[in-house]
Amino acid sequence: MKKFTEQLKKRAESVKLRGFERNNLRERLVSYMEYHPLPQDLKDKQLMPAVVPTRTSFVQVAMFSRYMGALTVLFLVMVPFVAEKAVPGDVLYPVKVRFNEEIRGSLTFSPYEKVEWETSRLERRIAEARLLANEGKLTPEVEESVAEAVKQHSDAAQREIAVIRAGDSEQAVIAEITLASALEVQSEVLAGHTARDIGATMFGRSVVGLSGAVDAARKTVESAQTSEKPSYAKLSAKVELETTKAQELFNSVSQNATAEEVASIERRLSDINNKVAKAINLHNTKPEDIEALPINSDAETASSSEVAVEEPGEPSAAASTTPEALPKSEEVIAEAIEVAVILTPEEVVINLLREALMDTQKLISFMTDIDVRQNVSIEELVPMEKDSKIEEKKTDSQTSKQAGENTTLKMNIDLDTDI
Amino acid sequence: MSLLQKGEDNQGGSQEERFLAAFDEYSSALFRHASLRISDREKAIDLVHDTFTKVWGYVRQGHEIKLFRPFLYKVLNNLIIDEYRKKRESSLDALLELEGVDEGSFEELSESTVESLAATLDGKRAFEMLETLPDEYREVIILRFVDELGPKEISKLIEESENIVSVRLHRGLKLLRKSIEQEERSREEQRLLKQRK
Repeated sequence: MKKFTEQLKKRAESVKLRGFERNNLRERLVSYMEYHPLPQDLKDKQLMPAVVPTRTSFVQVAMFSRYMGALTVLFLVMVPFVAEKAVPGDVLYPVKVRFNEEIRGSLTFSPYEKVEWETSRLERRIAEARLLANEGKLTPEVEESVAEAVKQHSDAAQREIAVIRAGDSEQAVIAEITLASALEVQSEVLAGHTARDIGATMFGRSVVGLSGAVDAARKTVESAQTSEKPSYAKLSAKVELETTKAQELFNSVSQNATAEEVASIERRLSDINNKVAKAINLHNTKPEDIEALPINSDAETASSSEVAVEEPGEPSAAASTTPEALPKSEEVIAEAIEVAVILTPEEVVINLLREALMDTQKLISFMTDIDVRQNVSIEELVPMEKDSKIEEKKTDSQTSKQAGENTTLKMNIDLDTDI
Repeated sequence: MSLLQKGEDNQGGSQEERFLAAFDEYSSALFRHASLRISDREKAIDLVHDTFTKVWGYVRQGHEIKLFRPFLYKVLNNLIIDEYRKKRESSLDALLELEGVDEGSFEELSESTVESLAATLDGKRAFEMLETLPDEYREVIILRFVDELGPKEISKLIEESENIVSVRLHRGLKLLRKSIEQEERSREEQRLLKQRK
């Protein structure tokens, strides 16, 4: 077999193209190829080995861009989220102020919501400043910028109030009350902070400048308040809303708060409820019966005026009213009676509701804002109604018995001396 | 790697370069195959030329040829068959009739019998007698012993089963032996006649 194959092959190999035949054949073929060249797209395709890296790089670009998309989304979600905790001087602080807050502001539709948002922005600025001051990082520049921001936000809020006034003057008054009570709370908080700072003298800087700015804003707002009175219906509706909110907050807070805190908040809530109840009674009383009531209503007005006087006098008096306050109160009552004589019963009702609303709002910020709780005692923020204290004396002592708290007892004794 | 697949895979360069490289490598073998099949030198050169132009046309259509050797053989084989049809007007049906419907005996299907049969033959004489064989036998014998393809590769190329390839090889070789014996006998007779004269 091997022999056969070898022999056959050897003979077969003698059959071959001669050199010139082969060359001729090759030339024919090359010229045929020249007359029938590859189409251009195939010529490009034949560069495929060279194109492959380009193709991979295209794939890489596609993958990269996909990852970039995911990264961008992550970035857009994460940065604002992280920025929320930024304070002045942080890299992300501008994101918080100029992006997050502007976006949130643009999501508010009604002017009233805008006022609320400007108010809470103002509160945020002050909270940031307090945070920095606590860490001793509040530089004069930052404090100045915060003071400027406070002014801007309060101006913006007032502008919005003006917008509301153009459409609904009553709503504007309610918005004003909200803004005023917020400013009052912040002013109290800063006052508390300043007092503590001076006492501690730990930090070179205090928030005195800022406190001045807030006070200025507060005065502007108060002076801007018109003599216009909101209607009973609107105001009572708002009071109803806010008291409900406060009650709900109290229910959730009461589980964690100390018995003392619970008791004091509870008393203030019932105080507010009393005011509201009185206002409703007064409102429902027929005009001919009013004569029987002036003394009562005078007392209401008096006590509320007294509160305003008392605040700057004893900023740190926590759980008790000092005996020295007594003569002062009497004077105030006397003055208030004079003022109250001019007031119509309807005005008294509105004033009562206005106070109730402000107290409720202050109470809400006391319950919700940890800074407020740390810097201001509830007594400073929402002083007790003297009348209601007398009225609630029994309930108070009941509560104190139940709670077994010495402080509450002491408070009752103080109240007794007060009267 | 089989013989059909050897060489040339994944050669770099442009399509033209690959194509001309295939020509340089296989044109001689293809010419030999064609020449042995059709016994016409000029015609064989033309057939090789046609084979390459056909394959080039196929490349131009965008087809990628990974292995040129089996592809070139296939095209050439088809061209040779066409050439036979022109010449002899013999069809594949006629071929089948000639072979008969039988699939071949056990003996004919055995590769070893092909080898032992081939061993009894004189290669030189057999090569000379190739021309006398019908093309269907010549084809497989050339592919098997000249182009050195395996039975499987041949069966793929001529699109017949391996059994048929075996049977054809067997019968082809037998025919060759018969032809050689006949030739020897006639030579002997002629020699005896001369002696008598």
